Order: sequence, then structure tokens, then C-alpha cells
Amino acid sequence: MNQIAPITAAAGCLDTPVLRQRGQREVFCGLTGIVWLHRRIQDAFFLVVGSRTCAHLLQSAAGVMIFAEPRFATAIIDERDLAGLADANDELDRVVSRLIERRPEIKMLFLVGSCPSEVIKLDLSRAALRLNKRFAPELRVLSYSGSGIETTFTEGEDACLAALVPELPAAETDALMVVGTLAEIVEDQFARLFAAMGIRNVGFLPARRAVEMPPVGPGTKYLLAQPFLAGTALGLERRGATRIAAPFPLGVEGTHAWFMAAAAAFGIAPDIAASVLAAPAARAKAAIAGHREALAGRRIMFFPDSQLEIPLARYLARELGMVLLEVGTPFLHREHLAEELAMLPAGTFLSEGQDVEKQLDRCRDAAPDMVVCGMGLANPLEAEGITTKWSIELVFSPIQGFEQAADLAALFARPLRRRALLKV
Amino acid sequence: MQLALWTYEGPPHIGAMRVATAMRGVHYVLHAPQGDTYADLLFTMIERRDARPPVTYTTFQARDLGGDTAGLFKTAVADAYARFKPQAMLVGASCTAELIQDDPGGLALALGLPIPVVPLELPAYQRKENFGASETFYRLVRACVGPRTGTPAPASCNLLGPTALGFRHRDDVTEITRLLGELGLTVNVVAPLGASPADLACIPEAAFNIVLYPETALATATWLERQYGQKFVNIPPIGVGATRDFIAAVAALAGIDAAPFLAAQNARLPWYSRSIDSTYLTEKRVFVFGDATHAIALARVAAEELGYKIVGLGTYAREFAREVRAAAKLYDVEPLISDDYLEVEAAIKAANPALVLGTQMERHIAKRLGLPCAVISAPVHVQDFPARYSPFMGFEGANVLFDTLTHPLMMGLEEHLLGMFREDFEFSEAAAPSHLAATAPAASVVASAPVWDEQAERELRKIPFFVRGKARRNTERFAAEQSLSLIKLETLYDAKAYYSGDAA
Amino acid sequence: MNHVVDTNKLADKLRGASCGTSCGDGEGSLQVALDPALQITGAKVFAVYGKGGIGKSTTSSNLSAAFAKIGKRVLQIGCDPKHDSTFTLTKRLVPTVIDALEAVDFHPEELRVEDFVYPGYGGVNCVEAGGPPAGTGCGGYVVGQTVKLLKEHHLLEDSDVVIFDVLGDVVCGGFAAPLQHAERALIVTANDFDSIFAMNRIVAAIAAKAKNYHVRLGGVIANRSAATDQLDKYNAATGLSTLARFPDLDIIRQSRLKKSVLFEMEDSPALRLVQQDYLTLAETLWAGVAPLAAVPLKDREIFDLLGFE
Repeated sequence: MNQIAPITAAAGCLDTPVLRQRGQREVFCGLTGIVWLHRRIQDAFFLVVGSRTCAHLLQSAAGVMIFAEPRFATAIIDERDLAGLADANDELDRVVSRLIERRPEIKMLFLVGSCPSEVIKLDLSRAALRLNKRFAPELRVLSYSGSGIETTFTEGEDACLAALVPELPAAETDALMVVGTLAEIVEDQFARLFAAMGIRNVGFLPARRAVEMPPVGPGTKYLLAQPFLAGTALGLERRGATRIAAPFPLGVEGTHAWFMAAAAAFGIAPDIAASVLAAPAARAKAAIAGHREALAGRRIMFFPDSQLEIPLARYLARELGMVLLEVGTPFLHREHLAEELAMLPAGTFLSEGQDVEKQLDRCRDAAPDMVVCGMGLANPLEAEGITTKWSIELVFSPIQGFEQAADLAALFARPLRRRALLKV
Repeated sequence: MQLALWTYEGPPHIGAMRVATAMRGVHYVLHAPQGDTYADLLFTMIERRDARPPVTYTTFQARDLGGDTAGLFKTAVADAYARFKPQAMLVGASCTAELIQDDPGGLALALGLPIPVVPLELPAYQRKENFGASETFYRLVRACVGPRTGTPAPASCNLLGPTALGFRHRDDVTEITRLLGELGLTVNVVAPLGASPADLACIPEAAFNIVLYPETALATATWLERQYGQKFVNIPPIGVGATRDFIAAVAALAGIDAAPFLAAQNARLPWYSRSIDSTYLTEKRVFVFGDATHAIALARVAAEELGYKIVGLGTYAREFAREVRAAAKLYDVEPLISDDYLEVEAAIKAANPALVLGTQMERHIAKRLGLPCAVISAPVHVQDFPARYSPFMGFEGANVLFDTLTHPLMMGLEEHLLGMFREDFEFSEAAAPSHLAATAPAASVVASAPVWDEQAERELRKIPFFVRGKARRNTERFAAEQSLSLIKLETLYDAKAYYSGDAA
Repeated sequence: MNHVVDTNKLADKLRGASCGTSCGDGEGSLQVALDPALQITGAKVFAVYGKGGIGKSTTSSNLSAAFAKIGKRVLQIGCDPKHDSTFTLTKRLVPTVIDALEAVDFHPEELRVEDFVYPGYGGVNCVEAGGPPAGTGCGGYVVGQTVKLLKEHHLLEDSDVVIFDVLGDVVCGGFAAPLQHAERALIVTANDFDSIFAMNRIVAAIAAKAKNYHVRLGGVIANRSAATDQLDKYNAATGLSTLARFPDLDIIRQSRLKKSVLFEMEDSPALRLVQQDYLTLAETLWAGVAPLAAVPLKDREIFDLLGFE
């Protein structure tokens, strides 16, 4: 029932060589993270300092959200700024003042660096300090870089959270901190389970409001909910927190191990913890069983995108019987992914970074049953007869935890079912 | 710095991509940082293309900036040539690469490839998408065009301007090509859409050019006239009147008598516009905004072919500001030349129109203001590439326009009626459908519907509204089957797991 | 505070490399060959510098007229806030680029060619950049903008000859912009201390630009000079050479007052000689002058070199 297969190092991929190729990388830049971060931190505004390309990217990524005047915008650098004719700091001040006038409910402003602002070495951290002094205490101004030069896609969230860490209040008591953006509904489910297990002090980073950010200190133990938070983790450790090592809460096994690791770290007896998790785990197992038929034995290949590839692949292989052809990830954090790597089937082909042309060649040669890739590649591959699962849905949908395990499986099963359904 | 939430046009290299993707045998190498590949999505998703755009990006990152980015670029060009074997290549930089000044043109030239390599200089901090497309097309044509080999037949022409990701370009080309064929003309080359560099070489073989979209093709046509004496027609055939003017101009240049063709035409718009239920359209207030070509054309259609009253006219494309100003004079309105959507919103509010014709942004402005609206211009959205044939040009285009410009108002009429009957004893929302009165269930049934506890209700509200109804029904069904009278939080999730195998 | 832009130029490797187009099409194939005009990067571009008041505009406009006379399509661009470079060609002070930009509220994309390019004598196209807009202190910015506009409207490539007539003493910022597009820089000077001193500074600035762009010094045009002894000394010391010499003729002064180029003035033997000199200069420049590797002198050195004991 709730027996988890014992994890043996010999069976995993801790020592598996990883292919690294350098060529065109078909992934988003870190600015894209703003699209979900602004939904998460409900009184924050994200001001990108960049070019028209940045504005265009954000509106393309945000889709219909853009029309509701969301809490993000771009201050577009123009010729005069580049020619040094306009003082960039004066310009920024002017833009920010205008913004604050329109949106007085904003409590936190992020100045987000872009590729152009990096190249011309526009010092946004300085600007943030200055603006902070000017607008405090109603508004706090922070800065981070979401440029594609520095950050790949979900690393944008890492940069944002890492900018928050030094501002977190000092913790007075021991507590658990869950790190990484989760959908509200998932967060609430997790909070209920922690409470039921007896872990009372739980904070979530990022919190929903700027003033509610969780405290941190030497008594803080943090649990990563997402695998792309290297910088944030480092920041937390600098403030004395220690990491609870665990796989990521994807699928029944992963979620179970994640909660059990937290329980162990807080001295909760294993049988008590397990009894709290029993019902949801059983429910989830039953729910995903229906998707096994569509997925078992199917061969899947992951193109790099969000760094979620390895935990996803682990779940699909171990609980749904999929066969992993290649798991590509933009960056492989050896330490944070150690538990995941140990759980992967031995000999799984891993790749880090990307040369998209070479990877496409490998894909066509391997002829997988399903490819997980970005929307720039999905339709072209479908036209070649390859079934795809477009990866960004995995970042925007609630997929963590017991109650979402079946939804996650369904995201992969549906494209296969559809292909079988269509007679044209 | 300009604070921007919404940009009507993308950066200029997107325009370059629109030309490269429209063509065959062209490959574009773009020096750009990681992340600029987002642009591929515009083509594979909005336009639903079944192939990747023919673009290679260098996607440089921080570690590359410390080294030889120029070398990176040269490798990318060499590899792209080897892999894709294009007839011609475009090389350039996106906004960030422009700042590091690697000189893509010079670098590519140094490789000595045996094909034309056209360097693009698109100032990203000064110009935008339409200029990018225009300049790219101009450069490609200049690079590839060959000499005239004979005297072209007078009734031969080229169609210039349609691109990838263009607003209705796909169907406009089909419609106008057919129209010209029926008129007795030969279409020599259509470019850039569907053309190869070898096709561009043949452009001078036609007697004259047709500029279908001045945003993309005017600069090229002007140059072709200077070089080869090829005259051009610059009358976008949008609407019945403009299509007739277009045909007259084309026939004059081609030395053709258009009268028989025109006599045989029977677009539906004129009759539909004259029919009696179009009477209510008379002098309805219309605000028009978009790219210059469509804004000007639609204002004419609205005013002269549907009998609307123009209360606002504008464009975000400053390159054609003077044409839009001239048009605005015809309707005695203040022209709005702006790319700030807040300004546009304010103008629409002030004009108090009954109908808004604009881009996706104006559609949303109209929705917020509760006004009927239709999309008549780029920037494009997935809905602007319908599966069905739907041109804006030619006589069929006029038919499409009639529907496009009247249906939002008809829907408005329906809304109006529904509003009128809201309180009515028979037709209100609260009343049971009158035709079911005989078989209506007795009011006293269903005493034992399961009750939701507070926590479960709160959790239900966290579920997105578009699946909430289903979640509620499933949970209640599950509870009924389990004979539960109280629905708790756990019930909600038990139900979800229970039904999870079913179709989403 | 902000902006260190890393220049990463590979100028030496890149300039002048030819694109190896295939010669002749293969059997049954239609290969696309690159338009030769694009390969050679279009027009011959000259930037004319010199101390204020030395006669740059007179020289430039007569040179433009001479090029037109030998059948070339010419574009002359005045880069001086005084905007008086081209009036002998157009017979009036034409609206400047700044005037045009002001008219469209500084939205350059709204401008059309006819808003800032005016045809003059011999079909020479004339542009005046104008002075800086009130409030901004950088006149060079205007020149930079002008060059950008010309590029975007393809004017640089639709001409055979482009002449930038540039403000004299200042070679900084935007005023150096023409050097990014010029092949040859010409300096107009007279046979006196002040002009040569100014010329030396210009030589230094051009030498600096020559590191990253393909502009090279073409030579010196001696204006209003009967003798050239000081100039010859300077040339010998620096490696410059004189391309043409125009004496101090009254007819030239009159032509300015008459708002005419020399080719329009009343015939006389002296005039014919000058006209011929201009035509010869035009032919020489068109045929191509070798780049001069001139080394500027230090101020002290000039001071000692020129003049009499």
C-alpha cells in the first residue's frame, strides 16, 4: 500500500555521465518568471528595465493576462538613454514615480535587469537602494536580473527569491520554510498536511504579500519545493538556515518522501507522519492508476526547459512505467537533485545545456512516443508525426502534491489519447 | 525611457523574421542572447506553422561575453549554411547584440560563403517591427534581383508585401491572385510570401508592381521604379470602393479593359448594405485604430459602404502618420497618432462610439468599456488565422468585412433585447423555460441534496471558475452515491480522485 | 556612471573582404548572385573638415557641383549648426534636419525624404543637419541622427558621391559620426599658423578613428593661399600631402554673395582655371586617392615648426 521501493545507489544515476553540448538554446530567459511571480506575490510590481524586445516577450508570454493591466511593465531604453543624453537614474525615477501614482496599492517593486541593461552596465541595485530610501516605508524596492544572459527561464524565479532573502526578517523560533512558488491550492494542501503531522511553524517563500515574507535564521530548516533555486538556497544558508534533503514533491513517491524528510527533520515519529499521509497517498495512487494504461511502456524524451525534467522523468518512469530515452535539462544541480538522481533508472541518458539542432537529430533518430518540449518546437514536431507535451503547461499548472499527481499524469496521457482518437 | 505595458509592434528583428519565414530558401542568423528564441512561438503558435522559422540564434550567455562572441557568431553562420543549405542568408543582431557591436555583416562576409549574405542593420532602439520587415525585404530584393532579360508583357505584375504573421495576408494573396487572373493578368512573382531568392531575381520580368501592403513593400517598390522603371499601384484593395479603384489602376497600367470583369462581379456587401435590416446601422458611431493601411481602408468602408459615422481614426504606425492625418480630414475627426494604449483608451472613451474597430488591444479596451468591437489589424492573435478562408481584400474580402463590421452590433442588438426582457415574467432568468411548463418537476423534490461545509466551499472557490461547475457537480454526485449528507474538504478530493480517469 | 560599451571590433579582418560569388550559373540552376553594388558598399564618401571660416562650405559645394558635372549622383550634407553648407547649390537656406524633427515632435520614423533632402545645382541632393535643439547641449547628436536618417532612407547608397561638410574645430561625439561612414577625410586649410594648428588636431582625431573604421586621410586642400610654404613644411613633417590648391580669388568670394557655385559665374580665364582645378580634384577623388598614414605633431612641435625665426 504505502511501501516505497527501497532506493539503492547502484540503481540510480548519481554517477551517470551527462552529455553537454553548446549550441543554440531554445529556452526562455528569466524575465518569463515574472508572469507567474506577479500572481504569487499579490502586492508586488515587476518593472523590467530593458528594450522593446523585453516588452514584446512579456506580452507574448502573458497572453490575455496583459490586457488586465497586470502588475508588470517594461521601461524601454531608447536612443537618448544609450547616447548618455538622458540620465538613466533620472529617467528611472520619473518612470517609477508615474507608476506609483497609478498603482498606490503596490507594496514591493522589483527593478528587473535585462540583457540590454546588463550590457550597458546599468546599476539597478544602486537605483533600487536610492528609490528605497525615497519611497520607504510604503514601498520597498529591490532588484534582480532576469536577463537571458544570466538566467535561463525558471532561474528568473531563483534570482527574484534570492533578492528577497537578505530582506527577510530574522527568525526568533525554529521553523520550516518551504521554498519555491507553488499554486495557492497546493500550498494550502501542504500547510494542512504539515499541521496534521505536528509541524506548526511553517512559512512559504514567496509569501502572498510583501509584508508576510517568512523569517529566517539558524533555527530555520528549509525544504525546496522547486529544483531551480540554487541562488536562493545559498542565500538562506548564509543566514543560517539548513536544507532538508529530499526528492521533489511530484508524484506519490516524491511527495511522500518530501513530507517524510520534513517530519524526520522536526523529530516527528515516522509512523505518525506516515499515518497522516496514508489517506491522500492512497487516494492519489488509485487516481493515477487510470493513466498507467496510456503511459506504461511509452518512450519519452525531454528537451531542456524548466529544470523540472529530472523529477518529472523520475515520476513518469517509476510510477507510470514510462521509458526514458533522454532527459535534457538546462542546468543540473548535483546537490539539490541528488535524491532524484538516485531514483532514476540506472543508465538513463542525461544531457545538460543544449545544442538544439543536434538534439533534434537525436530525437528523430530515437523516434520517441512522446517529446516534452517548448512551444517553439512542439507544432513542428507534431507535423513530423511526433506526439508532444508542451512543457510550459507544467510550469503554470498545479502539479505538486498528492491531489495533483493524477492531474500531472493526465497532462502526459492526454496527447497520447488524442492521437489515438483522431481519425484524420 | 518609455514606460510600456503593451507594445503594438515588436522590435525590428521580428519584422526581419517575418520576411525570412515567409520565404523559401532563406536562412536568418541572428546574433542574440539566450531567450530571444521566444520569437519562434509567434510563428508556431499564433500562425500555427508546421515548421520552425528558418532562424538560427547564437543565444549567448554571460560566460560567452567574456570570450569570443564574434567567433560564436561566425560558427553559427557556418553551421547554419552547412545544415540548411539556403539560397541566401540574412545576418543581423537583436537589440542586445547591437550593443556589443560585433558587426554580424562583416563577420559573415569574412566567411566567404558562395551565396549572397545580406547584412541587416535594424536599429533596435529607434525602429520597430514594420520597419524591420520593410528594410529586410528591400535589402533582400536589392541583393537578389537580376537584370531584365527581355520586354515584359504589359499585363504582367508582381504582388509585393505579404509576409509571415501578417494580418490576413495568407487569404488576401489568394483572393487578389485570383482576381488578377480573372482580370487577364499574369502574376509573375509574389514576394516575400512563398518566394525564394531565385524568384526575387525574376522580379524585373514583370511590367509593373502591386504594393499590397505599403508597410512592407513601399520602399522596395520605390527602388524598383528607380532601377527598372517599373511603375507600381499602391491602393490596398480593402472594401468595394478601394477594390474598384485598385482594378482601375491595375487595368490602366496593364492596358486592359476592366469593364467586363467589373460587370460580372457580384459582391454581397452592396446589397446587404442596402437591405432593410441594415437601416439600423445608419450613422452608428465608429472608432477606428490600427496599422495605417487597415485603419484608412476600414474608415472608408465604414463610412461609404456601411453608412457608419467615423468618430475617431488613428494609427500606431508613425511612418504613415501623414496618410492617416489626411484621411482623418475627410471625416472631420482629430487624427490619433500614438503607440501609447492609454492614450488610445482615453480617446475611445471620449469619442463614445457604438463600435470599436482596432487591434487586439482595442478589443480589450472595448470589452472593458462594454462596447462592441471587431479586430481589423495587426498586432495579430491566434484568432486572426482562422481555419476558414477569410480575406480582407477583394470582393470576397468586402463580404467578410460586412459580417465583421455588423455582427458585433447585431450581438449588441440581442443583448439589448435580453436586457429589455430581464424583468419579464416569462423571459427572465429566474423563470423556467416556458415551453417546459407542462413537464416541470414538482417543486418539492430533492429534499436531501448534500450540504457543503464551510471549509469545502472555500476550497471549491480555489478551483478555477471554468472547471468549478464540473467540480461541484462531480463532488455532489460522488456524495450522493456514497450516501453522504455533508460534503467536507476530504470529500472534494475523494471525488476528484474517483473521477480522475475520466476525460478532463 | 553607466555605460561602458565594450567595443569588440575586428575591423582589420573584416573590411574590404570580398564575397566570393560564383561566376556563372551551373546547368539548369538559377543561382542568385550578390548585387555588386552592395559588395562595394555603395557610394564614395568624403568627410571635409577644417577650421571655421576656412572655406569648407565653398570648397564642398563647388566640389559637389564638379562631381555632378562629371556625371555623378551627389549628396552633400552640411554638419554645421550654421546650416550654410549648401546654399550656393539650392539658392536658399533650406530647412534643417532639426527643423524637420521638430515638426514631427522628434519622431524620426514619421519623416519622408522630401522633408529634409533638397535637390540643387546639377541635381546635387542637399541636406543640412542644423543645430542642437534647445536644452540639449550635444550638437553632435544631431549629426548622428542625420546620418541615421540618411541610412534608413537608403540615401547613402543611392548616391555615387557623398560629401560631409563638417564643423571645423570640433571633432568629438556626433561630429565624428561622418568618419564612421567616410572613406577619405579631406582637410581644408590655409597657409597660416591657426589653420594648420587646427588641422593638426583634426589629423589626430581622424587617426584615432582610423583604428576602428576604414576612414583614412585623403589629403589637404589649400584654400585662399597664394603661397604654401608653411603647409609644405607641415606636410613634410607629418606625411600629409596637398591634393588641390585654390588661390584667393575675388570671383570665389563673389560666388558666395551671389549664392552660386563657380560653374554658374561669368566666364573669365581665372575662373576657368579654378573650375578646371575643381573638375580635376573631382576626377582624382573619384579615381581614388591613396590613404595617407599621417602622424600628427605635438602642439610644441608645430609651434616650433611653423613660422619664421
